[in-house]
Amino acid sequence: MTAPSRRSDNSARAQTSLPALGIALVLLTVVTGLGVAMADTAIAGADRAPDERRVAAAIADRLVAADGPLAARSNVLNKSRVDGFDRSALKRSAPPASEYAVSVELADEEIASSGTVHSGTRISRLVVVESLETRTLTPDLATTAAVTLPRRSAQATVTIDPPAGTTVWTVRANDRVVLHNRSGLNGSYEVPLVPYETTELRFQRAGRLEPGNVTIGYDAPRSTKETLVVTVDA
Amino acid sequence: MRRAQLPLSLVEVALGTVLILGVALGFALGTPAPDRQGPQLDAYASDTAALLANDPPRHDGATRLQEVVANPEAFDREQDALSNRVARILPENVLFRVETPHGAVGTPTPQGVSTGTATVPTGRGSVRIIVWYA
Repeated sequence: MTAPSRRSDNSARAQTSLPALGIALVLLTVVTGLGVAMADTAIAGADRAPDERRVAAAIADRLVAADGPLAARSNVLNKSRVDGFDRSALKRSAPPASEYAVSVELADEEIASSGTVHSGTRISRLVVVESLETRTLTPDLATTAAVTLPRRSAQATVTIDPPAGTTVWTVRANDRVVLHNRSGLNGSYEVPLVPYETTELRFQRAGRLEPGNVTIGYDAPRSTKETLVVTVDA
Repeated sequence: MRRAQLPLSLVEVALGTVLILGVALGFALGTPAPDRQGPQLDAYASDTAALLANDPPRHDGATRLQEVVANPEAFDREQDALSNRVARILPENVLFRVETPHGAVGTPTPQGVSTGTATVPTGRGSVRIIVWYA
Protein backbone atom coordinates (compact mmCIF):
# COMPACT_ATOMS: atom_id res chain seq x y z
CA MET A 1 0.00 0.00 0.00
CA THR A 2 2.87 2.38 -0.63
CA ALA A 3 1.61 3.60 -3.99
CA PRO A 4 -1.31 5.99 -3.67
CA SER A 5 -4.39 5.04 -5.56
CA ARG A 6 -5.20 7.08 -8.54
CA ARG A 7 -8.69 7.95 -7.43
CA SER A 8 -7.55 9.52 -4.18
CA ASP A 9 -5.51 11.93 -6.19
CA ASN A 10 -8.59 13.78 -7.31
CA SER A 11 -11.07 13.37 -4.49
CA ALA A 12 -10.90 14.55 -0.92
CA ARG A 13 -12.04 11.19 0.47
CA ALA A 14 -10.98 7.65 -0.06
CA GLN A 15 -13.60 5.70 -2.02
CA THR A 16 -14.41 2.10 -1.53
CA SER A 17 -13.88 0.48 -4.83
CA LEU A 18 -16.68 -1.75 -6.11
CA PRO A 19 -14.44 -4.78 -6.91
CA ALA A 20 -13.06 -4.68 -3.34
CA LEU A 21 -16.63 -4.72 -1.94
CA GLY A 22 -17.50 -7.66 -4.15
CA ILE A 23 -14.46 -9.64 -3.10
CA ALA A 24 -15.15 -8.82 0.55
CA LEU A 25 -18.73 -10.08 0.33
CA VAL A 26 -17.67 -13.29 -1.38
CA LEU A 27 -14.95 -13.92 1.20
CA LEU A 28 -17.28 -13.24 4.10
CA THR A 29 -19.94 -15.55 2.70
CA VAL A 30 -17.41 -18.34 2.21
CA VAL A 31 -16.07 -17.94 5.74
CA THR A 32 -19.59 -17.89 7.21
CA GLY A 33 -20.42 -21.06 5.35
CA LEU A 34 -17.26 -22.73 6.59
CA GLY A 35 -17.94 -21.61 10.16
CA VAL A 36 -21.49 -22.96 10.18
CA ALA A 37 -20.30 -26.27 8.72
CA MET A 38 -17.64 -26.52 11.42
CA ALA A 39 -20.13 -25.80 14.18
CA ASP A 40 -22.52 -28.39 12.77
CA THR A 41 -19.80 -31.05 12.72
CA ALA A 42 -18.80 -30.20 16.26
CA ILE A 43 -22.36 -30.54 17.54
CA ALA A 44 -22.90 -33.78 15.61
CA GLY A 45 -19.69 -35.15 17.14
CA ALA A 46 -20.78 -34.19 20.64
CA ASP A 47 -24.03 -36.11 20.27
CA ARG A 48 -23.09 -39.40 21.97
CA ALA A 49 -26.20 -41.45 21.39
CA PRO A 50 -26.75 -41.17 25.14
CA ASP A 51 -29.96 -43.18 25.22
CA GLU A 52 -28.50 -46.36 23.75
CA ARG A 53 -25.42 -46.18 25.91
CA ARG A 54 -27.35 -45.44 29.07
CA VAL A 55 -29.86 -48.23 28.49
CA ALA A 56 -27.09 -50.73 27.69
CA ALA A 57 -25.09 -49.80 30.78
CA ALA A 58 -28.16 -49.92 33.03
CA ILE A 59 -29.31 -53.32 31.77
CA ALA A 60 -25.79 -54.77 32.07
CA ASP A 61 -25.54 -53.38 35.60
CA ARG A 62 -28.87 -54.92 36.50
CA LEU A 63 -27.96 -58.34 35.12
CA VAL A 64 -24.72 -58.65 37.09
CA ALA A 65 -26.03 -57.10 40.33
CA ALA A 66 -26.20 -59.39 43.34
CA ASP A 67 -30.01 -59.10 43.49
CA GLY A 68 -30.44 -59.28 39.71
CA PRO A 69 -32.37 -61.94 37.80
CA LEU A 70 -29.28 -64.01 36.90
CA ALA A 71 -26.80 -63.53 39.68
CA ALA A 72 -26.04 -65.72 42.64
CA ARG A 73 -23.66 -63.11 44.00
CA SER A 74 -22.34 -59.92 42.55
CA ASN A 75 -20.83 -60.75 39.09
CA VAL A 76 -21.38 -64.46 39.68
CA LEU A 77 -24.19 -65.89 37.56
CA ASN A 78 -26.12 -68.99 38.41
CA LYS A 79 -26.08 -71.46 35.51
CA SER A 80 -29.63 -72.71 36.01
CA ARG A 81 -30.97 -69.16 36.16
CA VAL A 82 -29.08 -68.32 32.98
CA ASP A 83 -30.64 -71.33 31.28
CA GLY A 84 -34.11 -70.19 32.34
CA PHE A 85 -33.62 -66.62 31.14
CA ASP A 86 -35.70 -65.66 28.11
CA ARG A 87 -37.39 -62.78 26.36
CA SER A 88 -40.16 -62.28 28.91
CA ALA A 89 -37.74 -62.51 31.84
CA LEU A 90 -35.59 -59.90 30.13
CA LYS A 91 -38.55 -57.56 29.71
CA ARG A 92 -39.60 -58.11 33.30
CA SER A 93 -36.20 -57.39 34.78
CA ALA A 94 -35.26 -54.62 32.34
CA PRO A 95 -38.28 -52.53 31.33
CA PRO A 96 -36.40 -50.54 28.63
CA ALA A 97 -36.15 -53.83 26.73
CA SER A 98 -39.77 -53.36 25.61
CA GLU A 99 -38.90 -50.07 23.91
CA TYR A 100 -35.48 -50.86 22.48
CA ALA A 101 -34.08 -53.87 20.71
CA VAL A 102 -31.91 -55.42 23.39
CA SER A 103 -29.79 -58.52 22.99
CA VAL A 104 -28.02 -60.29 25.85
CA GLU A 105 -25.14 -62.60 24.95
CA LEU A 106 -23.18 -64.84 27.24
CA ALA A 107 -20.03 -66.48 25.90
CA ASP A 108 -20.90 -65.37 22.33
CA GLU A 109 -24.26 -67.07 22.55
CA GLU A 110 -27.48 -65.12 22.69
CA ILE A 111 -29.46 -66.03 25.79
CA ALA A 112 -32.29 -63.53 25.37
CA SER A 113 -33.29 -60.71 23.06
CA SER A 114 -36.18 -58.35 22.55
CA GLY A 115 -35.88 -57.63 18.86
CA THR A 116 -33.23 -57.87 16.18
CA VAL A 117 -30.06 -55.92 16.82
CA HIS A 118 -28.15 -54.73 13.78
CA SER A 119 -25.49 -52.42 15.16
CA GLY A 120 -26.07 -50.41 18.29
CA THR A 121 -24.10 -49.87 21.46
CA ARG A 122 -22.40 -52.74 23.27
CA ILE A 123 -21.42 -52.98 26.91
CA SER A 124 -19.41 -56.00 28.02
CA ARG A 125 -19.26 -57.18 31.60
CA LEU A 126 -16.97 -59.82 33.03
CA VAL A 127 -18.76 -62.53 34.95
CA VAL A 128 -18.25 -65.97 36.35
CA VAL A 129 -20.87 -68.60 35.58
CA GLU A 130 -21.27 -71.01 38.41
CA SER A 131 -22.93 -74.38 38.03
CA LEU A 132 -23.70 -76.33 41.16
CA GLU A 133 -22.47 -79.84 41.34
CA THR A 134 -22.42 -82.24 44.24
CA ARG A 135 -19.38 -84.40 44.72
CA THR A 136 -19.04 -87.35 47.03
CA LEU A 137 -16.06 -88.07 49.19
CA THR A 138 -15.43 -91.46 50.75
CA PRO A 139 -12.83 -90.88 53.42
CA ASP A 140 -10.64 -93.58 54.87
CA LEU A 141 -11.30 -93.20 58.57
CA ALA A 142 -9.57 -96.42 59.67
CA THR A 143 -6.53 -94.69 61.10
CA THR A 144 -7.58 -91.08 61.46
CA ALA A 145 -10.70 -89.49 62.86
CA ALA A 146 -10.73 -86.36 60.72
CA VAL A 147 -11.21 -85.50 57.07
CA THR A 148 -10.79 -82.14 55.37
CA LEU A 149 -13.22 -81.20 52.63
CA PRO A 150 -11.29 -80.25 49.48
CA ARG A 151 -13.67 -77.41 48.68
CA ARG A 152 -15.43 -74.81 50.76
CA SER A 153 -19.09 -75.56 50.86
CA ALA A 154 -22.16 -74.10 52.51
CA GLN A 155 -23.51 -77.51 53.40
CA ALA A 156 -22.62 -81.17 53.30
CA THR A 157 -24.53 -84.41 53.41
CA VAL A 158 -22.92 -86.84 55.82
CA THR A 159 -24.03 -90.44 55.48
CA ILE A 160 -22.99 -92.70 58.31
CA ASP A 161 -23.52 -96.42 58.08
CA PRO A 162 -21.38 -97.92 60.87
CA PRO A 163 -20.59 -101.62 60.93
CA ALA A 164 -21.89 -103.70 63.84
CA GLY A 165 -20.10 -102.89 67.07
CA THR A 166 -19.07 -99.39 66.06
CA THR A 167 -20.76 -96.25 67.33
CA VAL A 168 -20.29 -92.73 66.01
CA TRP A 169 -21.52 -90.20 68.56
CA THR A 170 -20.47 -86.82 67.39
CA VAL A 171 -19.46 -85.08 64.18
CA ARG A 172 -17.61 -81.80 64.55
CA ALA A 173 -16.92 -79.25 61.84
CA ASN A 174 -13.84 -77.27 62.90
CA ASP A 175 -14.50 -78.09 66.59
CA ARG A 176 -18.12 -77.04 66.30
CA VAL A 177 -20.53 -79.84 67.05
CA VAL A 178 -22.85 -80.32 64.08
CA LEU A 179 -24.25 -83.80 64.79
CA HIS A 180 -24.58 -85.57 68.10
CA ASN A 181 -26.45 -88.60 69.33
CA ARG A 182 -25.53 -90.48 72.51
CA SER A 183 -26.88 -93.73 71.17
CA GLY A 184 -25.06 -93.49 67.86
CA LEU A 185 -25.54 -91.74 64.54
CA ASN A 186 -26.84 -93.83 61.69
CA GLY A 187 -28.28 -92.48 58.47
CA SER A 188 -27.97 -89.48 56.22
CA TYR A 189 -27.72 -85.98 57.70
CA GLU A 190 -27.67 -82.50 56.22
CA VAL A 191 -24.93 -80.47 57.90
CA PRO A 192 -24.76 -76.68 57.52
CA LEU A 193 -21.21 -75.41 57.13
CA VAL A 194 -19.50 -72.03 56.95
CA PRO A 195 -18.63 -71.36 53.30
CA TYR A 196 -15.84 -68.90 54.16
CA GLU A 197 -13.46 -71.34 55.74
CA THR A 198 -11.93 -74.69 54.97
CA THR A 199 -13.84 -77.32 56.89
CA GLU A 200 -12.40 -80.27 58.74
CA LEU A 201 -14.96 -82.87 59.77
CA ARG A 202 -14.00 -84.91 62.84
CA PHE A 203 -15.81 -88.09 63.80
CA GLN A 204 -15.86 -89.15 67.44
CA ARG A 205 -16.43 -92.88 67.62
CA ALA A 206 -15.84 -96.15 69.35
CA GLY A 207 -14.80 -99.06 67.18
CA ARG A 208 -13.51 -99.39 63.65
CA LEU A 209 -14.73 -97.61 60.55
CA GLU A 210 -13.95 -99.05 57.15
CA PRO A 211 -13.80 -96.96 53.98
CA GLY A 212 -17.37 -96.73 52.71
CA ASN A 213 -18.98 -96.56 56.13
CA VAL A 214 -18.94 -92.78 55.95
CA THR A 215 -19.60 -90.81 52.79
CA ILE A 216 -19.72 -87.05 52.55
CA GLY A 217 -21.47 -85.19 49.77
CA TYR A 218 -20.46 -81.55 49.34
CA ASP A 219 -21.13 -78.71 46.91
CA ALA A 220 -18.38 -78.22 44.39
CA PRO A 221 -19.45 -75.24 42.31
CA ARG A 222 -17.80 -75.26 38.92
CA SER A 223 -17.15 -71.77 37.71
CA THR A 224 -16.14 -70.59 34.28
CA LYS A 225 -15.16 -67.07 33.33
CA GLU A 226 -17.37 -65.56 30.63
CA THR A 227 -18.23 -62.25 29.08
CA LEU A 228 -21.78 -60.92 29.24
CA VAL A 229 -22.50 -58.57 26.35
CA VAL A 230 -25.57 -56.33 26.24
CA THR A 231 -26.28 -54.72 22.88
CA VAL A 232 -28.93 -52.03 22.50
CA ASP A 233 -30.20 -50.82 19.14
CA ALA A 234 -32.55 -47.87 19.38
CA MET B 1 -2.23 15.43 2.03
CA ARG B 2 -1.70 12.38 -0.13
CA ARG B 3 -2.28 9.18 1.80
CA ALA B 4 -2.68 5.60 0.77
CA GLN B 5 -6.15 4.40 1.61
CA LEU B 6 -7.00 0.83 2.47
CA PRO B 7 -10.38 -0.02 1.03
CA LEU B 8 -12.81 -0.10 3.93
CA SER B 9 -14.48 -3.28 2.72
CA LEU B 10 -11.21 -5.18 3.02
CA VAL B 11 -10.88 -4.03 6.62
CA GLU B 12 -14.45 -5.15 7.24
CA VAL B 13 -13.94 -8.53 5.66
CA ALA B 14 -10.80 -9.06 7.73
CA LEU B 15 -12.65 -8.22 10.96
CA GLY B 16 -15.65 -10.32 9.96
CA THR B 17 -13.49 -13.30 9.14
CA VAL B 18 -11.72 -13.11 12.47
CA LEU B 19 -15.05 -12.87 14.31
CA ILE B 20 -16.71 -15.76 12.53
CA LEU B 21 -13.64 -17.99 12.68
CA GLY B 22 -13.38 -17.19 16.39
CA VAL B 23 -16.93 -18.38 17.02
CA ALA B 24 -16.41 -21.49 14.87
CA LEU B 25 -13.15 -22.29 16.68
CA GLY B 26 -15.05 -22.01 19.94
CA PHE B 27 -17.39 -24.74 18.74
CA ALA B 28 -14.57 -26.92 17.47
CA LEU B 29 -12.40 -26.70 20.58
CA GLY B 30 -15.04 -26.02 23.22
CA THR B 31 -17.00 -29.27 22.87
CA PRO B 32 -15.11 -32.14 24.45
CA ALA B 33 -14.74 -35.30 22.41
CA PRO B 34 -17.13 -37.94 23.74
CA ASP B 35 -15.39 -40.49 25.94
CA ARG B 36 -16.62 -43.78 24.51
CA GLN B 37 -14.05 -45.98 26.23
CA GLY B 38 -14.41 -44.66 29.76
CA PRO B 39 -17.69 -46.33 30.80
CA GLN B 40 -16.63 -49.71 29.39
CA LEU B 41 -13.23 -49.55 31.11
CA ASP B 42 -14.85 -48.52 34.38
CA ALA B 43 -17.16 -51.52 34.06
CA TYR B 44 -14.17 -53.82 33.46
CA ALA B 45 -12.37 -52.43 36.52
CA SER B 46 -15.35 -52.79 38.84
CA ASP B 47 -16.09 -56.30 37.49
CA THR B 48 -12.51 -57.31 38.21
CA ALA B 49 -12.83 -55.98 41.73
CA ALA B 50 -16.11 -57.85 42.26
CA LEU B 51 -14.67 -61.10 40.92
CA LEU B 52 -11.58 -60.86 43.13
CA ALA B 53 -13.81 -60.18 46.11
CA ASN B 54 -15.78 -63.32 45.21
CA ASP B 55 -12.82 -65.61 44.53
CA PRO B 56 -11.94 -68.12 47.19
CA PRO B 57 -8.43 -67.55 48.54
CA ARG B 58 -5.47 -69.76 47.69
CA HIS B 59 -4.35 -70.20 51.26
CA ASP B 60 -6.10 -68.33 54.04
CA GLY B 61 -8.50 -65.49 54.56
CA ALA B 62 -12.09 -65.28 53.42
CA THR B 63 -11.56 -64.05 49.85
CA ARG B 64 -8.62 -63.63 47.53
CA LEU B 65 -8.74 -59.88 47.90
CA GLN B 66 -8.49 -60.13 51.65
CA GLU B 67 -5.68 -62.64 51.40
CA VAL B 68 -3.60 -60.34 49.21
CA VAL B 69 -3.78 -57.30 51.47
CA ALA B 70 -3.39 -59.19 54.76
CA ASN B 71 0.33 -58.45 55.20
CA PRO B 72 3.45 -57.75 53.10
CA GLU B 73 4.58 -61.40 53.21
CA ALA B 74 1.22 -62.59 51.93
CA PHE B 75 1.39 -60.03 49.14
CA ASP B 76 4.89 -61.16 48.15
CA ARG B 77 3.72 -64.75 48.08
CA GLU B 78 0.50 -64.07 46.18
CA GLN B 79 1.48 -61.37 43.72
CA ASP B 80 2.27 -63.68 40.81
CA ALA B 81 -0.95 -65.60 41.30
CA LEU B 82 -2.88 -62.33 41.61
CA SER B 83 -1.36 -61.02 38.41
CA ASN B 84 -2.23 -64.23 36.56
CA ARG B 85 -5.74 -64.23 37.91
CA VAL B 86 -6.45 -60.63 36.91
CA ALA B 87 -4.93 -61.22 33.46
CA ARG B 88 -7.24 -64.20 33.08
CA ILE B 89 -10.30 -62.24 34.20
CA LEU B 90 -9.74 -59.34 31.82
CA PRO B 91 -10.01 -59.58 28.00
CA GLU B 92 -6.70 -59.92 26.14
CA ASN B 93 -6.70 -56.36 24.81
CA VAL B 94 -6.94 -54.82 28.26
CA LEU B 95 -3.90 -54.12 30.43
CA PHE B 96 -4.15 -53.56 34.17
CA ARG B 97 -2.43 -52.44 37.32
CA VAL B 98 -3.55 -53.42 40.80
CA GLU B 99 -2.32 -51.21 43.61
CA THR B 100 -2.50 -52.52 47.14
CA PRO B 101 -1.14 -51.08 50.40
CA HIS B 102 1.82 -53.47 50.13
CA GLY B 103 2.77 -52.93 46.51
CA ALA B 104 1.44 -53.11 42.99
CA VAL B 105 1.26 -55.72 40.27
CA GLY B 106 0.71 -55.35 36.55
CA THR B 107 1.94 -52.97 33.87
CA PRO B 108 2.90 -49.43 34.88
CA THR B 109 0.07 -47.07 34.01
CA PRO B 110 0.81 -45.06 30.84
CA GLN B 111 0.14 -41.33 30.53
CA GLY B 112 -2.53 -39.92 28.30
CA VAL B 113 -4.71 -42.96 27.72
CA SER B 114 -8.31 -43.45 28.70
CA THR B 115 -8.40 -45.58 31.86
CA GLY B 116 -11.06 -47.12 34.04
CA THR B 117 -10.54 -47.44 37.77
CA ALA B 118 -12.24 -49.13 40.67
CA THR B 119 -11.29 -48.76 44.30
CA VAL B 120 -12.29 -51.44 46.77
CA PRO B 121 -12.02 -50.71 50.46
CA THR B 122 -10.75 -53.62 52.53
CA GLY B 123 -9.97 -53.97 56.19
CA ARG B 124 -6.26 -53.29 55.52
CA GLY B 125 -6.53 -50.35 53.17
CA SER B 126 -7.94 -49.89 49.73
CA VAL B 127 -7.10 -51.78 46.58
CA ARG B 128 -7.15 -49.80 43.37
CA ILE B 129 -7.58 -51.46 40.00
CA ILE B 130 -6.70 -49.50 36.88
CA VAL B 131 -7.40 -50.87 33.40
CA TRP B 132 -6.82 -49.52 29.93
CA TYR B 133 -6.87 -50.71 26.33
CA ALA B 134 -3.55 -51.99 25.08
